[in-house]
Amino acid sequence: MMRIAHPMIMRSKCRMSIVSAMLIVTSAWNLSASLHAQDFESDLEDMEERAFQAAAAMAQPSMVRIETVGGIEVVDNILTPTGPTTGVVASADGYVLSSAFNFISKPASIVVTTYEGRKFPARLIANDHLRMLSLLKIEAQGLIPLTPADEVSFRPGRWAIALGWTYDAESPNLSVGIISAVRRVWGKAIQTDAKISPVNYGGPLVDLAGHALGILVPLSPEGNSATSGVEWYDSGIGFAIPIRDALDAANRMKAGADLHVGLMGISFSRDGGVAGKPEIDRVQYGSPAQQAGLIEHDLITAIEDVAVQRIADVRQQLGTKYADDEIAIAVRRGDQSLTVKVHLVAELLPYESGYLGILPLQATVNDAGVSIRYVFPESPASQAGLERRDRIVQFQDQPVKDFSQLQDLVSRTLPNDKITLTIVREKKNIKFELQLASIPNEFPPVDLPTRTSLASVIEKKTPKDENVAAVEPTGRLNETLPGREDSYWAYIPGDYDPRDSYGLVVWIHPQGDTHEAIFLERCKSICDTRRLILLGPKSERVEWSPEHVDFVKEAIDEITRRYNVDPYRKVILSYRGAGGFAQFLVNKEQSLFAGVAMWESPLLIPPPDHEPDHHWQWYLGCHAEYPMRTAIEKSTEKLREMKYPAALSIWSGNADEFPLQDNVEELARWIDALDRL
Amino acid sequence: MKTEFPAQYVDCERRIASRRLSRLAAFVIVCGMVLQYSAELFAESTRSTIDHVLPRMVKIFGSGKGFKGFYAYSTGFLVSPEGHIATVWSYVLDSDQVTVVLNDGRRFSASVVGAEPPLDLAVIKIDSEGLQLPYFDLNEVEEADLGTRVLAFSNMFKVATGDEPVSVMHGVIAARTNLSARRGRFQTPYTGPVYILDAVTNNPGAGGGVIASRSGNLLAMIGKELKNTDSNTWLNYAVPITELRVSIDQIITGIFDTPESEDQEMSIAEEMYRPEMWGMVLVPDVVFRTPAYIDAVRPGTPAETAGLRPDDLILFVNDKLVSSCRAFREAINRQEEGDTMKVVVRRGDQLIAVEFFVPSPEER
Repeated sequence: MMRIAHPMIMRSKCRMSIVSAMLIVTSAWNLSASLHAQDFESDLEDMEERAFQAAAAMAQPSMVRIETVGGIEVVDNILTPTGPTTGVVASADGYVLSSAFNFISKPASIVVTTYEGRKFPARLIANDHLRMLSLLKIEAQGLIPLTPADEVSFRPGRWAIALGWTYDAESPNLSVGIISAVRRVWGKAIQTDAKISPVNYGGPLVDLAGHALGILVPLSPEGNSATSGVEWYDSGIGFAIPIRDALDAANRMKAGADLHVGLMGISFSRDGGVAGKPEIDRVQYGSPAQQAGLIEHDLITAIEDVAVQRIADVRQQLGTKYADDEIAIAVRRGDQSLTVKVHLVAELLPYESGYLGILPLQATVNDAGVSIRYVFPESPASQAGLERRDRIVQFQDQPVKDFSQLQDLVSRTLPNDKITLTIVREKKNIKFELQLASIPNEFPPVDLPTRTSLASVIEKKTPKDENVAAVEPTGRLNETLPGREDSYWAYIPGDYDPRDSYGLVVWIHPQGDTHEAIFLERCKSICDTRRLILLGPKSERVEWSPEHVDFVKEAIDEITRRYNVDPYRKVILSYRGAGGFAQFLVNKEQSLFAGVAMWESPLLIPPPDHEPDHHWQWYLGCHAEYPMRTAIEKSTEKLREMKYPAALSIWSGNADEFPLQDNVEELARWIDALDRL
Repeated sequence: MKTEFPAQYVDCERRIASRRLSRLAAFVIVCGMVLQYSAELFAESTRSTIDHVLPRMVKIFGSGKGFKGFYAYSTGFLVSPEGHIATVWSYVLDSDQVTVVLNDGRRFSASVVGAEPPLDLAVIKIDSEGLQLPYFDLNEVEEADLGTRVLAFSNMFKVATGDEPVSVMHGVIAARTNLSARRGRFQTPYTGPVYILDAVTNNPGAGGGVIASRSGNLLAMIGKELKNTDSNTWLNYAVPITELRVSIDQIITGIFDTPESEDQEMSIAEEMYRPEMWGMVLVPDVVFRTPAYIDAVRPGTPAETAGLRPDDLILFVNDKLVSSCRAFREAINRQEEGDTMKVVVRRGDQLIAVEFFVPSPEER
């Protein structure tokens, strides 16, 4: 298809140069034949030299010189080249392929000069982010496309000549090497020891016949940007995209859309390295792999009918696939074998849940469904007309039994989804249409009603059981766990009632100071009104370390065993230097907390991808003049990018002072709304 | 211009003496050439070329370890029967003591005869009278085309410290071009023709080494370690002997022709021409690479008559790419009164060529 025109039927001007190139080839042979008296070594060197020159001459009519105007000066810490670069003719009607590196500066204008010196303005049609190619279009006809090399030339050890058109306007520059390997960089590229650099990126790698092996690009097995691999220039390791793959890419790019790396959303355990067995460790929520039905522990046995044994084989097979490609993946699941079709995508979108804008009534009620405790102003629920005390009994077609079921249903929706809710209001069923939103990052309004204000509702439904309430102590406790030296303190609101559920705040103090007294002083009354239990594990003598994880976990278990703790309002709160340990703990024990709050500490450990399994909400707060404020603000941004709900609080006042009661009140409101849907 | 190099490198007496010797030498060479020619016809393989070149190469060492991370060694090649050695002009030659080591390990102390800083060239001399050292005849140099197989010889990385010859590399001529290079942030003075080599030749100590053809003839002298200003990559280049030959000869003989003024690429002292003179108003020049877009065309001006329009992007002046507003201003100031200036603009997907008459700067 791409071999449109045989060079010999082109215009006379081209024909002349082709013929002269052929003459050089033949004359090289004649010359060598006539000199058979000379030693073989000299003869061979002579033939090779002529062959290099002939190969360059053969390829030259299919090469173009590219000049750019304007653009950014520094990209990825590289000073972008300003000089001419190289491209190759992909089709007679004006499509030109080049290396994406040549356009990283996003130039204002591109000019292409064909081999016979005609200049054309060029349009950048599309970029290939997998093979790092760019497709240009010039309004020209009768160009001479590259002739792909024969299959036999693609063998390691064969001569490979890299051509660029950057030094001299009259003739190309060349570098001679061999093919070092094929199917490199996860199956994408030919490797050569010819010197590959910005002086020939975008140019062809040709065999001794001057036929194209590939198109030269910088590549790196690690990075995936247009500048990855540039650091390897002229080092004896260079890459070219095989010509047929490049021409296929050109055909796909003609539509004008960029080509992207195809992703499916699985990961493997790091324990085995790339030599490990390709057993799926994790399937990203909402990814193509999940949609195709792949699950954890599936062992991949073949991709597109090619058997795979190691993780490296899988990467090799997937490394050449684009987004929108559909690939067949065979897996073994237990003693079952199955094959699924996976439709690859360009971007794995982070998980984000839809949002109604209500707080549920968590009290134990006998009726099925979820009663609404509060409707957030301007939320989808409020706009649809839902009210406090409405009882949600149906979500789409599904009858709603309880809160955890409703939460599960909502977590499977996306922002902007349209859904129907059936509620019971004054014994009547009413249907509502809602367009869901994203979970807001803002704090709940100041007038968010406290839970105690609804005590009367609960009182009527479930009579108080005096026996249960009497058992556990309230107020401030100091305890140690059996068999452990570490101790913790806790605060249980004085009017603790086991029929109500309580939020739990696990206080991780910074090294050297538990801040127990001041923290309690600031929190006490708020804990009573917002129904929060405080738990303060202590590590006074040594710094928090991974060994403390079990201690903290056991302390939480102990409190939740004895008191009625609401799992949707379990929060870890750290202060300054303790933030690192708190994040470590959260990452290690992912189901322990519903919220992560940090006073004056940025993110130190990247959190896992946002998924229904770790649907944490974040709170970050610091004083306006705190030295790490910028880092904390950036951390908040990062979390929001990952689609985690993340609230940020910046307070004023005395910079050195422990956070004030107002800050605690704000935090408590945030905790109170953690079970929002 | 060529008399401007520092006086301490000029040893006049020695030059006058050597002038006579070189004339004698020239005679000897001519006689020998006939014999040599037939011999070299067969010296065409890599092995025979190496045998021919190595005895003509020397290693050069400065005293001490060099200052602050700079290496104090380089390469040179014998160019006269009296022991003249051509090499790259560098601080290695600034040492109190410059030592030259031959192929076979014989050591000489050398003195600097002269230098030609614009060419990065120096000539030093050892006292090798009566030793009949082999040398390169500068009349027997070749020029090579793209793709020609070559060998590079140099004292790179100071790896040949004993009684051993310099290192040999193979490669091909990658390109012929004019040097556009920089050292750090500074543009290099030499902007003449160079060979670009498809071999990593320009390493520490390699400067002053040679590029030889397979027939053993000299092609070029390896230059310094420089970066290509167009692509920001390290360059492997060598200066053709044809560019150096006259200067080497002049330093040896001490006879300097006063060349005609060669200052073609004079820096523009003042901005004589402005785009507004033809009625072109460019967009504000805000960054280093602001493309030369036309912002407005003044009525009743040559630009309007030529049909230029706002948003046209000026791409070429006399077939040379102008990549920015700055480059365009420089380009129009290279024009001389009475010239016809050809300007190519891009309008959408079209290239449009227009011509302007260059008036005297005083005219409007």
